[in-house]
Amino acid sequence: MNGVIAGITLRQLLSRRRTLLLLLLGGVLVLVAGVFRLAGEELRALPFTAGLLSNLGAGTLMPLVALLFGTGALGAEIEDGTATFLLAKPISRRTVVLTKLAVAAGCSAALTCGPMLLAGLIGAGGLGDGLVLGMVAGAAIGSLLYCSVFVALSLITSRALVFGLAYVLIWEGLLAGLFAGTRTFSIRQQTLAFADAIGSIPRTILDTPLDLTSAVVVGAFVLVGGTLLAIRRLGSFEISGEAA
Amino acid sequence: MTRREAAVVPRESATGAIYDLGYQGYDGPRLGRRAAIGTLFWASLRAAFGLGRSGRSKIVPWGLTAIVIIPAAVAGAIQAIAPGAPSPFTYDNYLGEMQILLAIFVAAQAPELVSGDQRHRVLSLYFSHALARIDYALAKLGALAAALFIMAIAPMLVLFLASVLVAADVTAAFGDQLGNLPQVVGAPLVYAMPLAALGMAIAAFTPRRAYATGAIIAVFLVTGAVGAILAEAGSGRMSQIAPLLNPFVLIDGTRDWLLGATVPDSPVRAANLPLPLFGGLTAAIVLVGATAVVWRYRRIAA
Amino acid sequence: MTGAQTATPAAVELANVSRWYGNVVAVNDISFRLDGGVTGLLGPNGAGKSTILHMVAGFLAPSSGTVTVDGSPAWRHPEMYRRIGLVPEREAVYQFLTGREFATANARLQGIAPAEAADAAARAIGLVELEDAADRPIGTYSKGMRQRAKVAGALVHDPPILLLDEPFNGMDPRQRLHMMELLRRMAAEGRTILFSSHILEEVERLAERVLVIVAGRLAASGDFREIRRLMTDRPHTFTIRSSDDRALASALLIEPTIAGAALDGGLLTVRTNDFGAFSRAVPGIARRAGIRLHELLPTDESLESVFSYLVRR
Repeated sequence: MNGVIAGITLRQLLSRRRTLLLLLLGGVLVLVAGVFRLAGEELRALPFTAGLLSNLGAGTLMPLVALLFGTGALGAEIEDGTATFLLAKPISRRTVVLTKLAVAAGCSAALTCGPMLLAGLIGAGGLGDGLVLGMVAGAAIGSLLYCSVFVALSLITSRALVFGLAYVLIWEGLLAGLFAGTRTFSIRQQTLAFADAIGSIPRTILDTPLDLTSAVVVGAFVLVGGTLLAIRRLGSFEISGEAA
Repeated sequence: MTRREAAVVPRESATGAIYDLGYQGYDGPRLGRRAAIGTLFWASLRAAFGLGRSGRSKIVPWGLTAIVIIPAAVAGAIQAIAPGAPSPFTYDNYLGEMQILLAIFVAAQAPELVSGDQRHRVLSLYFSHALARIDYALAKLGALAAALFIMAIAPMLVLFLASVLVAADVTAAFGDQLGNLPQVVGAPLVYAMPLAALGMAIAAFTPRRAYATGAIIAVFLVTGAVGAILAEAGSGRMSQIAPLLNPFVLIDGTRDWLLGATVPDSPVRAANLPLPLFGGLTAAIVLVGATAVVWRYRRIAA
Repeated sequence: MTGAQTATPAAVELANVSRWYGNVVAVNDISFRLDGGVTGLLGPNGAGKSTILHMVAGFLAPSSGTVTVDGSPAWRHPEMYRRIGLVPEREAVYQFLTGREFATANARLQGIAPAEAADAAARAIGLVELEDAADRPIGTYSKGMRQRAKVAGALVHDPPILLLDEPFNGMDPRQRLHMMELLRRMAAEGRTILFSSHILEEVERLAERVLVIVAGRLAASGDFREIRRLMTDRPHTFTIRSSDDRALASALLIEPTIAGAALDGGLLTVRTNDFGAFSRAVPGIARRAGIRLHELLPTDESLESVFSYLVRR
């Protein structure tokens, strides 16, 4: 970790427009919870909140936020050329990757977990038997996993955003519906498994096909693999000076 | 000719010389506005598929088009091996199932068509020619809609050809299938127009490509997820109206209304609302989207 | 000049370096050593100057040969950046930082302690005369100011080696003079400075030594005046189109300033050793012979052709 790089990255990622856009997204989550409260459906509060946090929260908000931050942390800087300043310093590329990843994951977690916590508290009218805290903690881990994949992706292709979208929507969305086996390698499902374990949520509320052990194993594999790949790619990253 | 000969001898003084290199103005006939629109439309359509560009910019559009075709091709192959086996895909439900791919295409390629022009400040170059601002807007919108149409009709044609070719009597099968042509051509049109209008409206307001892609997909995903959650969890009127928040459901409903398609247990059926309502709202998306694009280019400082 | 080891390693040394992208050769078997002084990397756009600078800066791996800075390879060696200041060509700078913040961040990333980083930044900003704008965001800067902010960021750790890619782009004449003065002074203090430019005049005024790069190859190197003399003394070539090329050719060959004439594919090409006398004489010769001139083009007045002449020698 390097404090100066972290500071610059933070200011870069939390530009006014991007932050506003993402807060708007999070606001939708809170708004839906509020609308549901006002409609006054006390009895179904728990299943509703579970659906809200897992589908709109972990299924939509979390990957989108992580996608923008994860691909923006290093990829945007390489695209616009400012990466030269960072890389022409006596700092190992590993430190650069780890710092960027930590800041991206931190920003993602903050802008995902904050709205989820608020929406959960409103929707469930409280902590909802560990559901809210479990989902928030799961989303923090999920944000880190997503970011490690997207940071690596942004060092492999200049269109990381589109490929990341394709992974989230096609692999985790379309294919997971057709072939259950793909769910093992779905960060969304891992997030639900973590949420389930942390919040000790009754199995009937959160429909998680993954057990904790495989979620931990695959999650660790994704985190370590993504980070190592990113370090390797940046270590031999070539900048040709010509506009990309 | 006379013009050229008149100025061939270099003008010179003792220390310098200016050579006439033969450059001259063009004062022949010009093709005019319609040709300019046509050219921009055609160039943009090619750009949407990365034609004439590097191999890397072809990966995304062609990859998505391939993915949208594969299920249809697989279904066709199964029909050929085991005739009469139940197929999960019909003309009615195919594009509805594949909408998310069309949405990714829009999110990826709409910014590709317009964001760069704003970001690199080249709009003034367009507007200083025969092209009016509204022409630029409509040509870009039209190109995206046409690209989507091509991507959507490809698997429909595969389904069509498959059902003709697997039959023992090809001519008879062709006659049978001919009745489905309105579906084959109409459904892609119904999907292409609103998706293009919505995506282009967002892209036109976002000069940064990455933000535009993020914003488009966020709108598609969030409206969809909110609609689904409210429909499932809400009560009474709220759960009935909720699916209307989802543009995908609106488009599905419009297709059912216009082409008489029926898809069992679809959100459209579940909503149990009059189909023209879906059609009206979809038309509103197209109109509002197109108006927003035109408005944007009327106002933008080139 | 080979890659042989010498007693003290050179500040910058390239030994038989080539670099290709796929089938395109960007840099072709280049060797040189730099130790102190200002060296200009001169060549037309696309000649490979940026590629060479990026290889020295450790941003590109040579496809063959070795690039060393102070004796150790430049590629994958972040520690060497302590001794290098780099000013890239691309405009992009962190828009949201002020000039002072940018210089300070560079100092901190170079490992200068927080207490001293502010002083180092202030000194660098003073060197490039950016004090007035130092506390404004770089996003509000003009091209020339941005360029100076980049230079300040590269100077902040007082590096013995300075690499600059097209450093004078966007600067007005006064800033250009000031920057040249600064670089000259830094070289006089014993630093090694390598800068690229496609403008002959910039290189002429600043560099003690030139490396002329054409199509990825080293076309000439050494003292500037010597190369300059070689360039102007070369024969000039013109192509002529007239009402009777053949008659004109024979009329021209009588002239003492004409070194040769060739009729090739309907195109009359004439070589002369005296540019001025020739262009004054041609209209008169043509008029006397009753020949009408359609076109008279110098074929090689661009920098590119000057370089290609050097390459052919």
